[in-house]
Parts: sequence; structure tokens; C-alpha cells
Amino acid sequence: MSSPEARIPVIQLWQRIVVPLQGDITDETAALLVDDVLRTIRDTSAAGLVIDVTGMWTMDSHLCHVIANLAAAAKLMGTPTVICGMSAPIAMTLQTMGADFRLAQTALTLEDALERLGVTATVIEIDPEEPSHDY
Amino acid sequence: MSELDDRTLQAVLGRHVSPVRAQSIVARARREAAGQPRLLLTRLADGLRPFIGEAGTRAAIAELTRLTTDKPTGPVELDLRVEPDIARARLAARDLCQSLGASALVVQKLATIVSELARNMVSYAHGGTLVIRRCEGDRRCLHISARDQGPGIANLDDILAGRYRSRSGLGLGILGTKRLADRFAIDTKPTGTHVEVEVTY
Repeated sequence: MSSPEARIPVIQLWQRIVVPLQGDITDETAALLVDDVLRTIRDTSAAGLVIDVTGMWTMDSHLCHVIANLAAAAKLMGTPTVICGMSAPIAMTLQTMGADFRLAQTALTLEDALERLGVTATVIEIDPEEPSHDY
Repeated sequence: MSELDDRTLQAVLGRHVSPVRAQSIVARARREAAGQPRLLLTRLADGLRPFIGEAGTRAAIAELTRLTTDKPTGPVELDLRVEPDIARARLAARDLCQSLGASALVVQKLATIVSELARNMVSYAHGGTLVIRRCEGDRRCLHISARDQGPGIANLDDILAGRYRSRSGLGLGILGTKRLADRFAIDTKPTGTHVEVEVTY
């Protein structure tokens, strides 16, 4: 299952790295992910790492362990990690199991996570009536 | 094919869209289908598609189809040998839970338990057999049995007491399963391990 489809995207955004996890992640995909992310951190001197688990339908202790290890390794390289988007059932389940996420910060949404890492956004209202003069 | 009531329809749709939206999609589909069960599913799909796309709609309709078939909840027996079998096992657990109309939390609990048990068998016992079935009698409960011929878990007492945590995370798998389960029994010896778990839904 080492097809390119199985690779998880590693997105670079304002010197931060965003990793959206989705669906059901096999051990092999998870191992590839750790490699990809750590390499990207080194190559881009990223100021922060966001792991967005919004798209995950389940997380077991192994995946938690992989994420915790990734966060610990990123920290050794000087890059803080924020995990965001955990669903209520997953959070309840991990809490009951006694999973440990102390090595990474957590945030509710992707916006919150980026904010934690020092990204501030300015939203400009777009007037649909006004024709764009950029083109 | 048995008819589904509005409450069940709304519960299933409510896992994909908001409760209010689910209610309005169901009401509209009922009106348009005018009592024809097959047409009802088509209309429900039409109602869902704009909100959750084709893949999500297909998943929701599959769920409803399972609910309408007469034996949706037969036992699932899985032979687990290699790592991809772990993903297969938790997906099977999810499908069974959903076909029983279990809550999102129960789906999550059961999928996680199955994932942990499956991983232990694949990683430490050269594989094993996992069976998920409904509990005997009328109880709303699922029974999971995981059996392997592995070398057994030597430090089980330490693991269950929370005194042991391996660097690979094994300890949390067994202890986490025990914490998630409503009933938990384990029998381990050098010739194999048998774990039995019950989760009410």
C-alpha cells in the first residue's frame, strides 16, 4: 500500500506546516507521514506544526502514540505541535482509555491552532456586487 | 424488506447532517415517495447529496439498506494475520455498530477496542481470530472475542494495574480496552490468550 495515494498531504502555510489526517490510516501510511513531516520541518525551518484530525473517523492508541512521537521529535527540532479538530466521540474514547497528549498542545479548530502558532488573519469582506479589478 | 420509522431515519441521517436538516429531508422524502420503500431511499439520497456529496450519501444509504434487510447483525468473524487486517477489523466493527443504530460514541468505543485487540494479536501473537456478535438475549450489547495462540502476556497484572507502559504503547491497548469495556475478561497463558469484551449500546 505504498501507492502515492496513501500518502498524507503535508501543506506549507506561512512558515507553518499543516497535516490533515483523513479516513483510516494504516501503520505504513503513518510511518511515511512521520518521515515526510520531519523532513519538511528540516527543509523549511517551519515555525510550527498543526496536525488536523477533523477527518479521522477513529483513533486508536497506536495512532496516538505515532502522533505523540511525531510531536516529540518535532519539539526536539525546535518546532511546537498543535493537534486540532478532535471529534467529541474520539476525545471521550481517548480520555477513557487514558491516552496521553501532553507533548502536544491541542486546539478546537484549525483557525485556533494556527493562532496558537502565531498566525493572525485579517478577513476582508468581499462585496459580490463590486467587480474585481485584479484581472 | 421492513419499513423504517422516522426516528431511525432521522438518527441515521443525523450522523451526516444536523438534526433539523435530517428531519426536513426525511419529511420531504416521505411526501415524495408516497409509501414506496424503494423510492424513499432514492429520495433520501437526493435530499442528502447537496449537503454531504456522493460518497457520504452512499455511506448513509448503505447504512439504511442494512437496517432494512432482515439479518443485518449476524456475527462477524475475522482472521487477523497482517497489519492491514487491523484496519479491516475496525471498519467491520463500525459497520456492525452502525447497522444496529448505535450512537457515535459507542461506534467509536467498539472500533477502538477492536483495533487494540487486533493490534495485539497481529503484533505480538502472530495473528488470531476476532468474533463480534450481539450478546445473548434481548440486551442491547455487543460481544467481542479475541483468541490467539501467541506466547501469552507475561506481565498482565502490572499492565492492568497501570504500572507498566511499553515504549511501543502495548500497555495502553489492553488497559484502554478494559477501561472502555462494560465487561472485560482475559485469560492468558503461554499457549495463547483469550479476551472477551462486552459493550452495551
